[in-house]
Amino acid sequence: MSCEYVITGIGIVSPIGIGNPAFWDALLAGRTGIKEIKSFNTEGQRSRLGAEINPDDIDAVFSDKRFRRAAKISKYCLAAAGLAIKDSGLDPSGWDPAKAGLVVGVTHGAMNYTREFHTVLIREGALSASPMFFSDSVLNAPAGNASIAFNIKGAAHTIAGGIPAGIDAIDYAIRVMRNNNLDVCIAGGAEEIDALVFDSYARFRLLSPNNRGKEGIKPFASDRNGLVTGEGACMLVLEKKEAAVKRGAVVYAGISDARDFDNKIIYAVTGANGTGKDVVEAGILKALLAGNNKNAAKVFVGNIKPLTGECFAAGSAMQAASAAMALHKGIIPPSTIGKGLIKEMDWCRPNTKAEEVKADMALISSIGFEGSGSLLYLMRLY
Amino acid sequence: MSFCWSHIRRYYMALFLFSLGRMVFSVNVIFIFRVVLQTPDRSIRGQICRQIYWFYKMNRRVVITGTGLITALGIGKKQNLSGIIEGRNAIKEIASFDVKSYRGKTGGEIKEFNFSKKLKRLRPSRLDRATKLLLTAADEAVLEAGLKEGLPQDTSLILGTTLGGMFSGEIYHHSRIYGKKGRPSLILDYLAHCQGAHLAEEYGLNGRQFTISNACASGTNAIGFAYNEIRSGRVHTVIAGGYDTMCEFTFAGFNSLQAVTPSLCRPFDKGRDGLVLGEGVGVMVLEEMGRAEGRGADIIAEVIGYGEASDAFHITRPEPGGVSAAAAISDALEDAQIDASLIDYINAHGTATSYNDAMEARAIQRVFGNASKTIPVSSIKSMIGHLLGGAGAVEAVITILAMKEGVLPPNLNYKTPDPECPLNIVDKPGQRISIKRAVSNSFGFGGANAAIVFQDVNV
Repeated sequence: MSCEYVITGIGIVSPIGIGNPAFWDALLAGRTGIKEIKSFNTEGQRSRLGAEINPDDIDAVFSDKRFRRAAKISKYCLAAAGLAIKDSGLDPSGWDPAKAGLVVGVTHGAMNYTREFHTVLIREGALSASPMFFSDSVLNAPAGNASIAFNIKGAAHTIAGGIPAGIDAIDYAIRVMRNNNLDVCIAGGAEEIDALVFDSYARFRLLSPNNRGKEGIKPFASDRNGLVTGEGACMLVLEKKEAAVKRGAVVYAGISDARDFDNKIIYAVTGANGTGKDVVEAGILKALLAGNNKNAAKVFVGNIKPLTGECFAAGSAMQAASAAMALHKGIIPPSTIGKGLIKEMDWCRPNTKAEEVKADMALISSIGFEGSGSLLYLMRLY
Repeated sequence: MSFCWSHIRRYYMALFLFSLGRMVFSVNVIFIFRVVLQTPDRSIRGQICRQIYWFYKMNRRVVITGTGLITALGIGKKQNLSGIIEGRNAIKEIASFDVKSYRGKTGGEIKEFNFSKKLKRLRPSRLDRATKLLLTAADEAVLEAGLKEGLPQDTSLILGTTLGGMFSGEIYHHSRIYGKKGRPSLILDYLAHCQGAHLAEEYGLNGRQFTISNACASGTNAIGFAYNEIRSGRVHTVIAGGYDTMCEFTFAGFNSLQAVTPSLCRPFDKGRDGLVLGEGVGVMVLEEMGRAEGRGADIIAEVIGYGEASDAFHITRPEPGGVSAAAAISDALEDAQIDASLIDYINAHGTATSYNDAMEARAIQRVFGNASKTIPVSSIKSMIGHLLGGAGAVEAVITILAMKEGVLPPNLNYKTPDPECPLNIVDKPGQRISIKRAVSNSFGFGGANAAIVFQDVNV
């Protein structure tokens, strides 16, 4: 087993906590961030719940006057990137900006500003439309803002993708680091809750409850009834292994480049969100982990969605962060997967309590609605 | 360990000297064998072999075997090429929505586009205009590459876009605002990654897919990333490109930024006062050279270098000194291992905004020095408008077409030289010249800069 790039910093802005200690505590305690939605009116909708972030909490961790008018998604991204850099012990004013990179995965982008701009345009006409909303509504605004805030000149990319966009961004970041010979790259995902997105998912009956059941995410359950939207951002600091070891950084986990170690996987953080695609994911996981795997009985299957809500691109990056922290700390948080699982998950025995396990490898899986799917393999470094 | 590295270094040095003297391949092979056999330790022998393998892998050459193009000049390469040779202006008053209340009223719209292609797996009624354009251009590229039958299943798909399916998203949102239900299928193809997913579904591809959205540099980023993917040996065939459609949303946005010209699009001219938006798609099939030659494909051109950098300056304004833009161009030339004086043509980003063109001229001067006064430079945005996410890819395809045809794409509406842009602007259409190597630049919102270098096959 070898890896070239490692995770040395984690920055999370999530509905269950800002900063990785708060996030980890919430995972161990199984505390959920799903509440009644406050930022817009859900009247007339069957669903009422969402996992939102309190705007004041963001101002407490990141306040830069240059970005006070930026969209929510940009603020989450900026706060998460700031926390990640702080966590890694690097200093943006000291690094070579041409050797630093940034990759942000997004699913819907700055929908709030897009909707705002378009609504004004339609209702009041072209002359009332504000340029401020437009310039921040482009998909690469979070990456653009973060590159300005943290002096990143090597490469600043935005990957548009479905739910797996967060781990796609990590995968892409490693390729960019190799191609451009970068020393450090900040990669992850960002997402914001918006009324139009909420409405669209509700129309496709993807939001919980799409039947008469209770509202909430039940991954892999036979009586699952849809997802609950969430928001936030999660950014990881990636560095070359030698450089990280040399500067004595805390290494959370390594990113494994080869993908034939299924036998060594002890922990799988799944991306199931209580919709129809859970069956697809379960089938893939069963083939990977339960087939010829000698450790099948020992594999812990986790899921963070019932706590954080479905945060799309940010959610898959949060999965990666939770797996990296579990590998690093040697503790597997209690699984949120309940009873009454679908038959493809019959091999899965969810742990109800946190367990101390020195896992070698973790698998992060995520499947999007449009048929895309990504896997990421993380490994513990000794 | 040190013993091993000295061996490797010795080998690289020798290999460098050998290739410098243009020694034949067999001599190289004998040399490799001698180095490996003379090494006493088995594990070190293995390491040397691995290093040699990587050395060759990283030196794969990347060629273009097929291109597809749709712009306001026409559908397909033929119409576009004749448009470039004639210097036809395809910018007209916008017809798809009402432009009465806007400062600028013109744009490069694609006219007479009827999607009649029979689809194997998709339903045309559920597709966005962007997907339809993308499918048509991708078909042209794949057909030219000779891969209509037998496109490898693991072909990667790397696309660049800014808006994705905004065209349908806009219609949906419009009806929602007025309390109507709106057709749900309009949102199925709205998000920026859906068009790529649809293309992959139609072609039955299961290779790696990325949709890059770096504003106006997306297209160049996508082709550059595809080039690096092939060069490093991770994939052998990639469909890469960029696309964007004309939407009122972006049109209003650029108008609100006062970036749209009320008159003509005049890149690098002293009287330039803003850009004109357009729509279009550029797609190319990139392959590893050995593989393309092996299957007897016609090679159109070669990608030899790519560079990128970020401004970290302002979300909409470029950094006026052009330092990062120059860094991207010089990275691309360094990657191509050629001297700046060997470049025969620069396809500029040239949006015709006051900021961008002055910045780009400074960046070109920084990299090319005195040669910047003689190398022909032009921006085809004067003919087809600014295609945002599609700009980089379309300009790349047009640069290759121009290279094959030996004609310089003109920079229309260039009358008064600007002392801030002391470049050799191609002001007349139909100028014939042999283009061996060309650079295409793209710069975008959020400080994204990228440059790519193409080389003619007959060099």
